[in-house]
Amino acid sequence: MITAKAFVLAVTILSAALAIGIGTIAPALGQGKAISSAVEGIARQPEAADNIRMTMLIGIAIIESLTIYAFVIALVLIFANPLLQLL
Amino acid sequence: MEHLGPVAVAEFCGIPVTNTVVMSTILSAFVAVMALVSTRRLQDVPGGLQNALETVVEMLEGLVVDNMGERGREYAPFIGALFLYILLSNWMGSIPGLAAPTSDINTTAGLAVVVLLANHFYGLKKKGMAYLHHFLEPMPFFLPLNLLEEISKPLSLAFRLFGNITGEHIVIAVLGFIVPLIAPVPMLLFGLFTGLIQALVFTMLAMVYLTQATGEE
Repeated sequence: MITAKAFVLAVTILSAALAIGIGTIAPALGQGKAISSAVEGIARQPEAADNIRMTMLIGIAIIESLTIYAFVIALVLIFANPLLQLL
Repeated sequence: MEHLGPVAVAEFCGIPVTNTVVMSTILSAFVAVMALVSTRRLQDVPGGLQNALETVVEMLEGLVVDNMGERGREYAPFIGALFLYILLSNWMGSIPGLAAPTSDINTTAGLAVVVLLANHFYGLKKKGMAYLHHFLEPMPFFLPLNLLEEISKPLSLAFRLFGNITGEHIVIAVLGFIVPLIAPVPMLLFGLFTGLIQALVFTMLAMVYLTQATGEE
């Protein structure tokens, strides 16, 4: 018989893995789009390369924060699980 | 992996003192001492330490003026202090035996709250009571949404910085656990890079918020 604690732990681990796994897909696509546009821009106008690179890095870091939110959720689930205290 | 996050190392009047607090105190003291030592005997033709620190200050001022225009010069000390503190904290985590203060959610939340307060303070100072009117834009019933935005700004700032630095540390720890020898080295180098980018992103967003709060419209 599965105890309640074991069930909550199993669901927690699964949801943490799903959170980071699914949460990575969309930002990865967005980053790919941003980088491809930046490379196109640099190829078309090499003299603006520094400016474009800077803007791209900032934009990528901001897109990446979406993944980071999913990662923080996963961290909370694994290291500071709030659900276990409810049992 | 078991020492993820801050560890209490001492107790001061019943309040636990974590290693990240100690690290950030050391960092602040280091920066302050460097600034004091380099400005003790100012010279017209700077050399050595004074030259190096003047380069840093000019670079920070250039960053602020590039992004906020000439009127951003008065915020340069605030933005520069944020940038230096976050950058050095991020890089501190790469030194063995030291911990990055920004890998503690309390540090990043504190920084985000400082940005939020500075935002409203400078907004009120620059525009007076007219500043409060922007909460009612574009329609009065947008007030709850605008208030929600004000809450989500520091939340996203704090989580972004904390998540990036902590994630970096976990990846390095896991790699070092699997292949202890050479494998973590490229990841450590990448950590220096992301530390710089995250410091840049944090200050860039702080500047964007400040420009929004103090801009003439």
